[in-house]
Amino acid sequence: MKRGARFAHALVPLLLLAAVVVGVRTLDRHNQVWDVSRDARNSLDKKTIQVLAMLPAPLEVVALVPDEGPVRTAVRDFFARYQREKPNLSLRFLDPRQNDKAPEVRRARLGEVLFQYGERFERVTELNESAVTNGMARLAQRRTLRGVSRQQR
Amino acid sequence: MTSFAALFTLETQRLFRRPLAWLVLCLGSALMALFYMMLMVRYLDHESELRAAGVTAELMVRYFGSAALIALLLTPLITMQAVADDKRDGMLRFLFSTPASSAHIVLAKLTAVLCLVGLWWAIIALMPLTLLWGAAIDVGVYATNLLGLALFMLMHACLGVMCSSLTRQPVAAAVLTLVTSLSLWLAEYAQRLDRESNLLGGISTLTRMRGFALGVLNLADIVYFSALALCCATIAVWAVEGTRRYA
Repeated sequence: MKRGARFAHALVPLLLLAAVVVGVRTLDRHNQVWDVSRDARNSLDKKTIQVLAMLPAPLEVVALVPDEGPVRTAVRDFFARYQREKPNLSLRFLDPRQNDKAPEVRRARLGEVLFQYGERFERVTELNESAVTNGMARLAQRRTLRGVSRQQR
Repeated sequence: MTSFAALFTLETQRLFRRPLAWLVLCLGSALMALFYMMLMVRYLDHESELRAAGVTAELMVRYFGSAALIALLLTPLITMQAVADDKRDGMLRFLFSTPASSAHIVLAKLTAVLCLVGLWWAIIALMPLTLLWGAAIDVGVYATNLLGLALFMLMHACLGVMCSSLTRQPVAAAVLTLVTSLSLWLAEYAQRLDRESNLLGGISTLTRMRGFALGVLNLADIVYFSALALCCATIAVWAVEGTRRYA
């Protein structure tokens, strides 16, 4: 009896830790975010949000950057704002010097960002909101033009 | 409640009478003042290059980043004696003979530790306010950094008290706290080895502090620190209750 009580007592911290990990992981997927910085500089522009709304399907972003922690952290932080608005935007890193035979290397160079939306690709050479939004807008427009041309046929 | 109030008064007096507590408070504040001065000198020396990023990002956010690291390293020294010392010298047995429950004993010790940690947090919080005389700092980012640091220190204080309740040796408690908190801090680096999984990044305190540093309040980050603090406090109560029942 005493052994059973001791065993039950020993289980308490394990169950607690498991509950915390599961709870926080679940909350990560249904997160709420408030940007309280001046001019909401961690939030996206209204035009960017409109462009993201034009891309409902999953969008893959491949950043062709060196395998260096600070660079990748900066890119991850930059796209975190986009991922908050568009949860099905995935970010992947690729070092073209280490993977020179990867198919993405034929479409973009070191330091560039490649967007893949279905069968469409778009390359962005600068990492700022206007350049990235323009790249996404070009992706969305291509899709629209393709849809219009199909309807006309 | 009366037993808790009496225990809290006792524990606060015991903590603030220890030279180690004052030493840690002085050392922590002096280190932060030194970091603040170094960051200030760095900014003034490279003002033309750093002006684009701004005082908030280049001085204040870096200051709070180093404050978190210093808190991580020094908190074990404050918490290590909380329960372990009482277990070793028999004070805990004496406390068990009083009407106070295990939860009251742990909460009184934890609240006393939090008083000292809170005092240190207030000193850290006051230093960047001197920037208001000469620069327009982002008050929103300042507030989120303060909140992040408060949650970070709360979580580490609870972790320290938990580790202290798991052993009879204060030094072992300090080492256990330091190893656990450093593992949680460095989990982000470990995640870089396995990029497909984001579990390690999710449990890393370094990753969780990033949102606060940028001026973004993430509900998941707030819940992460609060839930871990609550979990550690509960485990500390569990360990003391275990000592009462089985030791």
